[in-house]
Amino acid sequence: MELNRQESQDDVTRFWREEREEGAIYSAYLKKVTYHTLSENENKGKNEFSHLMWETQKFRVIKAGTLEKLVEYLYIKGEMDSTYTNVFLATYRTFSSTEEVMDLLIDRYINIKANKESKNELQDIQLRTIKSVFSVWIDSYPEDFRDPPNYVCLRKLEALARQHIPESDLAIRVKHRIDRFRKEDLKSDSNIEFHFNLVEEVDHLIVADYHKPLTFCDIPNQTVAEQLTYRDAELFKRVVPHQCLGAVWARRARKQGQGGTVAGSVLATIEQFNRVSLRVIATILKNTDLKTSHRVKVLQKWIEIAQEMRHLKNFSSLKAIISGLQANSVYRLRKTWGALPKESVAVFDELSQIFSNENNQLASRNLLMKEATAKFPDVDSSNKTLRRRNQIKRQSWIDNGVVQGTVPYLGTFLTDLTMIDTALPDTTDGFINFDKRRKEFEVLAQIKLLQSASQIYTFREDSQFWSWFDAVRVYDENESYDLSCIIERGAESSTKLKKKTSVGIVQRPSRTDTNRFSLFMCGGVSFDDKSSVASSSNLDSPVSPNTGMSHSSSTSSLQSYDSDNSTPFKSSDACVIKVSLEVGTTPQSHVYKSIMLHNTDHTHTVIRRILDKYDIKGKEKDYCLLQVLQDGELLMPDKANVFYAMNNNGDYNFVLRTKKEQEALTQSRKRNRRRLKLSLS
Amino acid sequence: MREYKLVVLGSGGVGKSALTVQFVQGIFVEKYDPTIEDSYRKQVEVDGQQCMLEILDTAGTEQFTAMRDLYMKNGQGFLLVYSITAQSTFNDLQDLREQILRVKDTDEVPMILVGNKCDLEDERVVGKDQGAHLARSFNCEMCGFLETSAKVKLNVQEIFFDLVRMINKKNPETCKKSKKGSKCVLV
Repeated sequence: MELNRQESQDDVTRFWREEREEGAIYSAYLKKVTYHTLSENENKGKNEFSHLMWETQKFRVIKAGTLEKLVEYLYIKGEMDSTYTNVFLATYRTFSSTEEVMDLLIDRYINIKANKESKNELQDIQLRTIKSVFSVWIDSYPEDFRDPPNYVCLRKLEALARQHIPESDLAIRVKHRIDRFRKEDLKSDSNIEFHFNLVEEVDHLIVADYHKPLTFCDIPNQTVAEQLTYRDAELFKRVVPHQCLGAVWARRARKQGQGGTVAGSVLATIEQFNRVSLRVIATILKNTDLKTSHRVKVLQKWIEIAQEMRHLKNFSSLKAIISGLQANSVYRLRKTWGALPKESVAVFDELSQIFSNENNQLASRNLLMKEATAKFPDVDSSNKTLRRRNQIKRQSWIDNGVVQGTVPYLGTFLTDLTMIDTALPDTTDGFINFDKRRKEFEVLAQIKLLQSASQIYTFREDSQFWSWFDAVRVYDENESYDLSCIIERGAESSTKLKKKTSVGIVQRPSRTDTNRFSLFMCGGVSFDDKSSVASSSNLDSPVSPNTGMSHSSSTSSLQSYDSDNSTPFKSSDACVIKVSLEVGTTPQSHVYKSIMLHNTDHTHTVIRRILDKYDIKGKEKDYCLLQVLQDGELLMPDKANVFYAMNNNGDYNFVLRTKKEQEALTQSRKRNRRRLKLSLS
Repeated sequence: MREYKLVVLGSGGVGKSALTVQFVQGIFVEKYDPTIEDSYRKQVEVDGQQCMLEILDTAGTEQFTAMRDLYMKNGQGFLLVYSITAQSTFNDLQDLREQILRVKDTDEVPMILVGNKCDLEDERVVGKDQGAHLARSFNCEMCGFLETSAKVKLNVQEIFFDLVRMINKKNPETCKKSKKGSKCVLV
C-alpha cells in the first residue's frame, strides 16, 4: 500500500525532554505524524477515518555542545534539523574561526574515508554531506576565506579535494575562488582605492565649479526619493548579516575611523542614514533670514519626499527624514510648522506614527513584515483626501505592473540582536550554547530575506544629485540649535538654556557627519556665507544665571569645527585643510573653507588660494597663515612647505590673519605673559 | 495605573542592554524574546503604588545620532549610563544631558547617573566621587547617582525605582487614567 505522509493540523510537535551525551545536550521532541493512503485520498473515500494511521516520532536537535560535536552534527544531523547548516554557517564566527572549523571538517572527511567499509550507505551520506557543506560555505560566505596572501583555508580545501575527491569539481571551484581573490585583492589595495575615491570627489568638485550647482528646491521629489533609495539599497545589499550580531557589532565602537573593519558594512548604512537626517536639518535651517513662507516650502518638500519613500518602501531614508524633521532644532520652529498646510501635517503625522517607539516599535515591525515581500506598499490613511490619492496611486501601480523593492531600517535588528546577545549566555554547562545561535539566526534570516527584496529596485545613480547632496553644508548639534534660535527665538526658558549650548562645544568637539568629503566639498561649491555665519557669539541672550556653567559660556570658538572625529583626509601627497578667516571685526567665526593642499605648496601659494576662495583682493605677503593647535597656534614661515611644516597630530585647522593683526596679537600676548610673570614673582 | 516612560541612554559598550534585560527579565532569561510587543514593559510596585514602566533602550543604535532627540522627547525620566572602566563614556554624558535639557526645554528633568560595571573594580578609571560630583553639579533635586553591576545584580532595580520616585516627586499629581501615558509628558 502506498503511503503518503502528510502534515496536517493534527500533527503536533511537543518538547519531550533534554538528553545528554558526552559533549552535547539535545532537545528531544515528539512529533505525531499522520499517514493517509494515497488512493483513498484521491477518491475522497467516505470512510476516510478507518484508513487513517499515525505514529509518534521522536526527533532531537542539538541544543549545546563542544565545537567538535557541533561540527560533527553538520553531517550526522537528521532531516528534522534542516536549517542547522545555515544557522551554523551564519553564526559560527562568534564561537570559532574559519580555519578551526575547516580543519575539523577536513580531518573528519579523511577519517571517514580511510575507515570506510565498502557499501556503507551511512558513511557515503556523511561524506556527501561534508562535501555539500564545503560548497554551501564557499558560495554563501566567500569573504570568510579571503585571507591574503596565502589563502590558507582555501589551499587546504583544494589539497583535500585533489587528493580525496577527484571525482567532483570542488578542486577546480576552489582554485577559481583563489584566483579571483588574488586578482581582487591586488587591485583593491586600500591606498589605491582611496585615490580612486579622491579622484571621483575632485571630479565632483570640478563639475560643481563649472555647472551651476543644483539647489534643493529645483530637484524633483521623485529624484531625491529614487536616488536615496538607490544608495540605501546598494548599502543594504552589502550589509554582511553576521556583522550585525550582538557580539560582533558591540565591538565596533572602539574601532571607528580605522576603516570600520569590524562591522564596516553596517557602519556605512548608519552613516548614510545620518547624512540624510543632517541634510534635512541643514536645508531647513540654512538661510536664517528666509521668510517663513519659504521655509515652509522646504519643510513641505521633505514631507512630500518622505511620502515618496513610503511608496518606494524605503523605510531607512523614510525614518532618516522623519528623524531630521523631529530633530529638536527643526521641530521647535513653531511658526514654521504652524504655517504648514493641513494636508502636509496629516501626512507627516501618519508617517511618524510608523516609527513610534510605543510597544517596542510594534507598528514598524508589523508594517515591515507585511510589506517586505509585497509588490507594492499598502498605504492607508485616515484622511479622506489622502486616502483617495493613495487609491489612485495604487491603481496606477497595478495598471503599470510596478513592483517595488524594500529597504528596512537596520536599527531595529541591531537592537534586537544586541538584546539577544545580552540576554542569552554564550555557554551552558560549559558547552557552546547553540540555542542562542538559533535565536540569532531568526533575525539574520529576516535581514537576508529583506536583502533579496532590496535587489528589486532598478534605479541608476544620478551624479548631479549626489554632487548636490555631498555639497550641502551640514551643522552639528550645537550649530543647528543656534541657527534654530536665530530663526525663532524660544521662550524665556530656552534663552536661559541657550548659553549652555556652547558648553558642549568647548568641552568636546561634537560628532556630526563623519563623511569628511562633505566638509571638503563645501569649500568648492557655492554656499551662502550669510547663512553659515550664524552661530558663535551673536546670540543676544542674557548671560546665564547658572554660575556652574558660566566659566565656559564663551563663544563657540574655533574648536567647534575640528569636530570631525574621523581622521582628516590626508594622503602622501595631498590633504584637505580647513581655513577660517580672521579679518578686522569678524573674529573667530564658524565659517571655514576647505582648501586642497599639495606637497608642493608653499605658504604664499596657499594664502593666494585662500584669498581667492574667500574672494578677497589682497596681496599674499600681507597675510600670514597659522595652524590652530590644541595648545596654541603654529605660524607658517613665509617660505615653508605647508604640507610638511604643519603639525600632523590632530586636525588640519588653519586661520588666516593680516600680518598687522598678527603682530598686534603677539604683542598683547607678550604683555600678558610679562604681567603674569610679574604677578608671580 | 500610572505609566512611566523611561529612557536608557549612554555610549555603546557601557552595558545598557544588560541593565535593561536584567531589570525586565529577572531570572527568566531563557525565554527572552526582544521582538515582541511587551519585551520592555514591566509592572512594578514602588512605594505601595502599582506602576507600569515602559523602557526604551537604545542599545545597538547609538550611532544613529539623528534619532536621539526623538527618544528624549518621549521620555519622562532618563538613566544616563557610563562604564566605570571607560572615561570617555563618562565624558559623553555631559553632552547627552545638555541635549536632553534642550529638547525638554527645561532644567528639571528627572535623571539618574549610572556608573555601571562596578564589579570590575580592578579596571576602574572613573572614581565614585567623580560620578557623585557630576550628579551634584547637574542638579541635586533632579539627578540621582548610583553605581551598578548588571553582572552581579547590584542596584539594578534601584536605579529604575529611584527614577520613578523622582518623576513622582516632580509630578506628584497622579495623572487621570489616560490611554497613553504620554498625557503626562513633562514640559
